[in-house]
Amino acid sequence: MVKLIIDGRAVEVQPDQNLLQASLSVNADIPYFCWHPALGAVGSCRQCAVRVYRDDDDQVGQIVMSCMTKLREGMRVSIAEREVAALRESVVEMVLANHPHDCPVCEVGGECHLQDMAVMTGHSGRRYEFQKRTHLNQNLGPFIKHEMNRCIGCYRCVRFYRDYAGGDDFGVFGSRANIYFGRASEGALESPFAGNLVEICPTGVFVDKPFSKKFRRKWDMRGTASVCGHCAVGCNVTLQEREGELRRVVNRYNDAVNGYFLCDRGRFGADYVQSEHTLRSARLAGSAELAVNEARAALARVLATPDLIGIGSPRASLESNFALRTIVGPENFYLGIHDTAYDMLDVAARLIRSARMTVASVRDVEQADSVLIIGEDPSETAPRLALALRQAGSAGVHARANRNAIPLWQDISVRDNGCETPGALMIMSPAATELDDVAWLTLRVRPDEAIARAAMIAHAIDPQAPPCADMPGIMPMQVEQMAAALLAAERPLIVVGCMTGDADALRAAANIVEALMRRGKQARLSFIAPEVNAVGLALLGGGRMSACFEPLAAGSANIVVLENDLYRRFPHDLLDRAFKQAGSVTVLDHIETQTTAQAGLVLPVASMAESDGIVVNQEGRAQRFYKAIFRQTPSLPAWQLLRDAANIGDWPTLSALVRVMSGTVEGLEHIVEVGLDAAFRIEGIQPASQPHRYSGRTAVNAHHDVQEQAPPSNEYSPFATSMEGYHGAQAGVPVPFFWSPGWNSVQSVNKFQSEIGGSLRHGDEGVKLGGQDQDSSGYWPVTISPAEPAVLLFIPCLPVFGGEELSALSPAIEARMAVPSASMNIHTAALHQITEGATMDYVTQGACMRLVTEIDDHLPDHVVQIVAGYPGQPPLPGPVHGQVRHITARADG
Amino acid sequence: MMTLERPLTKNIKPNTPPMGLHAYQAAGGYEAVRQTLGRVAPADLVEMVIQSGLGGRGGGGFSAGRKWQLMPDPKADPGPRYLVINADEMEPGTFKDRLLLEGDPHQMIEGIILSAYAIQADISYIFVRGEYGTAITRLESAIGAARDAGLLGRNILGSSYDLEIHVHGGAGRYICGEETALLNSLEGRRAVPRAKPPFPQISGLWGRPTVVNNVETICNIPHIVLRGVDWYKSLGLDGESGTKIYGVSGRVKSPGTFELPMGTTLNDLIEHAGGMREGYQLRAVLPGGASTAFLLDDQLDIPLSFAGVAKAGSRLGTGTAIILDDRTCPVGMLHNLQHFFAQESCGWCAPCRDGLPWVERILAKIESGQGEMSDLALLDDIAGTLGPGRTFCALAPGAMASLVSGLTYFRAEFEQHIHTKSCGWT
Repeated sequence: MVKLIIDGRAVEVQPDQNLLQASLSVNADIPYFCWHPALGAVGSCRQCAVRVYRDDDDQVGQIVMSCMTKLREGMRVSIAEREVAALRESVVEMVLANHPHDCPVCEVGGECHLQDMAVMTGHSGRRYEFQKRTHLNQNLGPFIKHEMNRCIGCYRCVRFYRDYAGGDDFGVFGSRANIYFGRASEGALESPFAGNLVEICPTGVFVDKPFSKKFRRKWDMRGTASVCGHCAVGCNVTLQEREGELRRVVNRYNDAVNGYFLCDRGRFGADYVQSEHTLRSARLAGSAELAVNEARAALARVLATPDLIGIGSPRASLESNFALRTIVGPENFYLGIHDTAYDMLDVAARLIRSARMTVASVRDVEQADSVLIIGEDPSETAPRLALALRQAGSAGVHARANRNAIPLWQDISVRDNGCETPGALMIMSPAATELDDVAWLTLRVRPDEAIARAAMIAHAIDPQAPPCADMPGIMPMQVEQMAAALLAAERPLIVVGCMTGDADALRAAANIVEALMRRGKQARLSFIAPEVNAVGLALLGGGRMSACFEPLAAGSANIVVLENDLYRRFPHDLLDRAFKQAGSVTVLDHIETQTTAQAGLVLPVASMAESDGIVVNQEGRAQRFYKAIFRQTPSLPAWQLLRDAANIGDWPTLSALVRVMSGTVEGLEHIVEVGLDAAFRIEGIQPASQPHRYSGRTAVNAHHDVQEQAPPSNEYSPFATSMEGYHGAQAGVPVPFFWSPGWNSVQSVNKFQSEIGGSLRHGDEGVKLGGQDQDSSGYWPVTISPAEPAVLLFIPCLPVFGGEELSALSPAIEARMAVPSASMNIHTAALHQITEGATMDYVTQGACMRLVTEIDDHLPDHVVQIVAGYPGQPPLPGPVHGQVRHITARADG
Repeated sequence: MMTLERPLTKNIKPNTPPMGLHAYQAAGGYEAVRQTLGRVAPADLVEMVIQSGLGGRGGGGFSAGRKWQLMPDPKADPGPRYLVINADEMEPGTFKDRLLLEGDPHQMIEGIILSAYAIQADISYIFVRGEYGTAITRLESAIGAARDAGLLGRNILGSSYDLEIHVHGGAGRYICGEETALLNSLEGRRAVPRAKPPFPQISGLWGRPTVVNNVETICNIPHIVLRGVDWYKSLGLDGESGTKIYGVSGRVKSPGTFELPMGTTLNDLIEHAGGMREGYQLRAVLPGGASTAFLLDDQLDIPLSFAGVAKAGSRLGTGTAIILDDRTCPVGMLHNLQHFFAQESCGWCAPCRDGLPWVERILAKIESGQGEMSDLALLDDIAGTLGPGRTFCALAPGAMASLVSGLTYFRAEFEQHIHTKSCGWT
């Protein structure tokens, strides 16, 4: 710790930070614009001036920018000194010279960092009397609204977009007082992290476009802690609601997971909960809507039958999956995922349970200094993790900065100094990835070749690791290079996911980690699970689906499907046959799917936004989401619907169910520690979920009813649904909105952190499960299943926008979905007499996809990359051999 | 009176093409290179330049040798090292480097070879103001001749020292004269300054050890090497070394550049320029380009050395004086200058970007007779915010140097504009 004296107050702060950050960490407020804890300091806005004194005798001191000033033991600092305070006021006056002061019609008004900083400096009144500069705005696509006149030129947008997130279609143009932040020409921002500009911009230049259409002031929305449901990273989000409508999703800081940033799928993908696809009422096949009571009675009748089969879901909560599993009996509960994912998750669950293996958090990923990615494109399957991997790529840059005594917070200097330093990533994947620019080695290989190399790398690091039979075309040199790079690192990381469609990829990855650990390395594994609660589902356990189809084929089982569109996962003819064989098919979901269309009985249940529950992310971190949306006619969460229909008395409350689950399922013991019990109170009162200034509660419904409505009841969550209750940070209570006196914007998160940019003072959320299995060291056997030579291999590509089921139903995401296509290299295309742009039939296992062909010379020979996962597309769960057919012209075409 | 030595311009004849390689060598050119490469240890050369007292001629006056000495040991950070020549001469009123580039390109190249050898750089860039087309052509041609003669490229003159020189034409931004903005521009990025530290010697071009020197500074090196430290020191007056290429613009009889002993007085310089034109009287002088504070007509006896001008409250800068005469409106002149600086702000830091256009508009308002007394107080305020240490680089403080001194010295003229609601000079 370093001692400082700030305006006569002695404080102790962490070393290795700049003076601005250090001051903020001890509640000594200094205004700033260009600095951001995740982006570091560049000294461009000149807003954070303070006076520092050389020693006790120095009465004059020197004015410095605190963001660019290193700490010195015993440093004497004045923020309040008259001249420096006047300088800060003068700088904000200049910054505001061209600002339109349109706060009343600006979406950011009331949560604007620029407003906060102007007030902090004491500036009021305008002396600039000349014409303001104005700009034309651009259409930046469905996510972001552009309002350049508000720009104060802090450069944070471009530094985030280009330097931090690796985007290249957005930049700064012009010079002098005529700088312009935008694209070379109009068009959607390509980076899947563009939405963060909304929170990065200190004022209202970049505004959440979908939110703008259903806009409410920050103080007029209820905030609820939730978890993003669109991949297995489990980013923490705040859902903001008013009048029963989800207004927007904003980042909820969690140091170990998402930090300050979300991907656009998470930010803009939640509107499926109130879309045309939302399932609102129950029905029986071929008949009209069922009343709520009739539907529940029908469900009760189904659950009372013998031969029940329950099919769970990786996008449903642990509670709902457990409820179904309990009712049908564990032996009749199937996980509802494809066998390849099942095998992967089975290994993943064992690794998470292992006391020896360290599964990396997103924060760990950022800090890795050498990374090997095996057969996966994380920028598609786990975008926020990919953003962390991009930062891991700067490990070498940081090392060089350290050698040259450049503080790591001095952002541009660090980047300039390290601009020739190769990245830390090694990527083995069939297709080019968004991370290639920070990789020093990229190998374009088939999944089986990637796995073989991974096995060889483990063996090269530790000869005890099982060897791998030689495969043609694999150069030992590359294997040795990769092994050497991992061994040269202090914190190596191996990343693997489900795109290889082969659990051996995960086994080989685990072997590399084990080998590195035996060589004394602090190695970590990151497994990219396919869906939000896939790991939770795997820890819960159940049968594989191939086993499920056997009893179905045999006879008259009654199937209950929980929040799962099986038609996204299994061949349609197989499902059609199985459903026909079944005694009955009951589907519980919150959206209409192909599966609900085939069901005999359909019941609506609550989505994540409308319910409480626990999901487990890819590192085994169990996280609680709370009910955010209260409808006039709510759907019940599936577990509750199932409980009532099956008349189970053990779970009067959600917490009771969690306790039972904790006592029943091995590996889930600690879930009782996750989140808050509904009975939780602070000094006898509930924590509030609306801000103090929430307005109009007596007027919102005045056109229907002049009486004040009672706030909705919140059965399973401790949060009051109104502004009444406890306000302020409390240990273990997720923050419903980041807000602090004088800090109305999202920058107020720094008031909730133990150190700026570090953990939340009252604890980052989530409980890491696993680690209890002591006898789990040792190597896994790895079997390579080589792809057939010269036969086309279809591999799925899951686009960020469209490749995930729920977000694809949100209008903003739908607007970003491209036409599905198939790609191959020019050699493969020539071999099959296919020309670029040709529409062809791509046929596999009974599924036929009619797709436009694109040429991508990154791909290896005989590999066809197929855009998959779009609504209505046949399933392509992993690499599979297939054929391509020319379309025969038909007269009626 | 002893004939003045003019080492820097001895080969330059007005309206005559520069010496080719043979003529240059016949006049003793590249002799310094022959005597140094492989014969003198680089560190000894650095020491020699320190001893010579050569101060940076771009305007800073910092010891050229000391600047070189900050380069890290090549063994500590192996890889490319760069010498970058700042020939982006865009300071209003300044045209001294143009003379050296156009007049004697081989002198430039010889200086670069010696300097790059001293700092053990293997690549040199000359960043030339884009409008200096003649200079670029002549440099490229001279570099070609030197390379053909084995004076550039691999294993120069059998010394096992390698050096390549590249000429880069600037795209026309004043800020590129700031050494770190120049580096950014050279890398193909936006011309905005970098934070210092790290200094370019530690993290310069592409993050590698780099020295950025002014044209005139480097042109001194062959002469120091060839004729020695004592000779070089003896050239200057007022305790500073060498000669200086001074310039004069404004209503003098013979505006132009003059190589004179460092520390020549302002009076003598103006005399070299033929004195004021008939009917004009000198009001004030910007001694070293547009970024320096005014000196008044009672300060003409000060020596034009770095220390001498600093003592008088201004800066030697580039040593090219701009004369304000009694028939030119000082408010108009200041407005013109501030217009330039507002245009040339790079847009990186807020006070410079948003403050300079404000200053320019207030001055335009006063000049057009619409000013108010409160505008003067406002100008004082803004000038304080744009002062040294407040902004990211020296551009805005340079701009404020003439404004602040002008607001003091020409207070009466400002007030006259405001009270009479017009400019009396038009």
